[in-house]
Amino acid sequence: MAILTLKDITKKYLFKNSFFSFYSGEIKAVDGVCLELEEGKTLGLVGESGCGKSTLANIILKLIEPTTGEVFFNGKEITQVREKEFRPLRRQIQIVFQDPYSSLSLRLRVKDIIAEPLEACLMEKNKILERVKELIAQVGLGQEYLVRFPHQLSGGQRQRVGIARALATSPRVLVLDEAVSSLDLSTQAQIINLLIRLQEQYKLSYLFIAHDLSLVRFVSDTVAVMYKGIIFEKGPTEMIYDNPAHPYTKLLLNSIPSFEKSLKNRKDRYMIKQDFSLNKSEKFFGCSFYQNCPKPMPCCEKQMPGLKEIGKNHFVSCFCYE
Amino acid sequence: MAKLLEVKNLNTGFHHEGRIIPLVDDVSFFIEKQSILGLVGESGSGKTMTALSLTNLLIDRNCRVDNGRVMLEGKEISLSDENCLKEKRGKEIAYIFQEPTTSLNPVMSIREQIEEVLLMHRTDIERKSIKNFIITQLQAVGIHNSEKKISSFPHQLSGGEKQRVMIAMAMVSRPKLIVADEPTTALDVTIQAQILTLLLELKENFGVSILFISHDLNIVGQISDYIAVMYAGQIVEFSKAKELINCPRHPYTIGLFNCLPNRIKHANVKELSTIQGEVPKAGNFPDGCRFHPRCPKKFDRCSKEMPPLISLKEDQEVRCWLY
Repeated sequence: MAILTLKDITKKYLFKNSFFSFYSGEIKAVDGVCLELEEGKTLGLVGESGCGKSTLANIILKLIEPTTGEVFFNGKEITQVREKEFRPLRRQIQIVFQDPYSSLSLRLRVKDIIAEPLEACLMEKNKILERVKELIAQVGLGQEYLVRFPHQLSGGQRQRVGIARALATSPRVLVLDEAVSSLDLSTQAQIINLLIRLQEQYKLSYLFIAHDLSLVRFVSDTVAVMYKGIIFEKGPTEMIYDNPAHPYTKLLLNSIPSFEKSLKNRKDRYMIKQDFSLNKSEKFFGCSFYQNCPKPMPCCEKQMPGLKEIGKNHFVSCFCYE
Repeated sequence: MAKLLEVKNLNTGFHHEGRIIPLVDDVSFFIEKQSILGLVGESGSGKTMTALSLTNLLIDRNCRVDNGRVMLEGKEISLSDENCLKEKRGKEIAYIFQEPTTSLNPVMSIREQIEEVLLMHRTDIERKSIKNFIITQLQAVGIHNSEKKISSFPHQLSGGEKQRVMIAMAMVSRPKLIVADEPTTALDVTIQAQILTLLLELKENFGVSILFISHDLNIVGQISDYIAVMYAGQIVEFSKAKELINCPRHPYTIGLFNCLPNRIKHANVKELSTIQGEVPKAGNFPDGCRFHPRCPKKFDRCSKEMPPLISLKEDQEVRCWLY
């Protein structure tokens, strides 16, 4: 049973060409995304910057409203629910942000940072400190850190505080928006291990957003590849990494740097020819990867292919598989 | 092969109230002609400070190069002589920085910015032919449609294009050495692969040497001929890239390699291996070997005495008492 289901989520932004004109166009930041997150599992979401990963995270957290589409949490539709009714659900979906330096308030001590969500969900005051102590131990920090300020902590310790804050309300879904990207290699491994341990302990479900593809492979059960707001491919991790079907996924996987691979053999390999951006006024209905695809077909220019199941739970959006 | 750049006993420190906080401590290395030296380390390990010290580009007045010699093609660069340094910077040693968006001037067109470098360093090019020269340079770094692009401003270009412009700017003066400080960190993986390939092509076609600074072992391992690993302001291991990848010696290097998630091939491995503890901050370095509080193989001597760089064989040095 999926704990979180996204159905056909689309988020459009209108823009003007000049200050005085009317809205003259729209940009689809997220376009018809369908995803499912199983309970206790990790869904990895990969894609280049600006492809809509964080917009999707914000929609799940109900921080922004999708233009169309539905989000089901535990079988209940949440995008249309009013804020007051959504409150009890809000504590069940939490987020850990990318930058541990800007996501913690500089003026609050660690104990106050972690206590804030507990106060917001009206926990009794005498229980709060107890819970905070419990949380800080869970993320592997000593009690002496409770009275410190964020500037006294290192990046890894800050991220641990961020995780403790997210865990405070005992959520069931945790959105990790590039949660380890800004950390050093050795600290990153520590945080990943902590996240894996917490997942086993509390049966948490993770939406793991990252651009480090080898890390996503390590932590995720299923992976979705996003490009310009559209899910190009999704499926079980091993299937995606061993048999990528979409040309974009192949390109991404080929680009992973590795000390085991030599760069010299890759010159003949195809690469994105140019940073192609669509002329805003121009309407283009075809596949958004058309310009960079190594094997474009005439039909790719005319319409966007739909998601098609090519293996067990393995979906691809490409005309090669129609 | 002949050595292009040789750095000996470089010390850079932060002077504060009569105290010196060492940021770069006794760093020595060399770069061969037409080769790439990869400098890896975690944040705060002194990689960037080393790079900036080469031409004394230290921005803070309290930061000073206290000691050390930098030799370019056998000739010493005097680090205190500002006039001599001005000639070297950009002309013989060019820099590419991490964030192309902040390194380019937002109110100047691409053409004007490259022209600035040309007027400074390339007096051999006639004024009339400057425009064409810039266009061919932009083409050489793989910018499509460069006739139009030269009159555009930085905000009109994508991240990858901006970094290409930065590389073109570094290349117009035909430097002998390019210092690339995390040139791909701000870019997407697909663009990153292109920029790395471009740097390799420049090395082969123009015979330029590159000091490539990165925190990512994967990238450095892929592109470098030699690798130096830095930890807490010191070089802890220096050797040929192949050697270092196949057989890392220093416990820190071994630990770093084990942290890489792409090393794990089996599905049943549930945990990444880690290095205990945190990177020490400058000014707070432990006595003895600076890695010993985190080291799995430490023994008594490590906490008392700082190990020197020990030569194992030709071109291979390790700073560890184990050897």
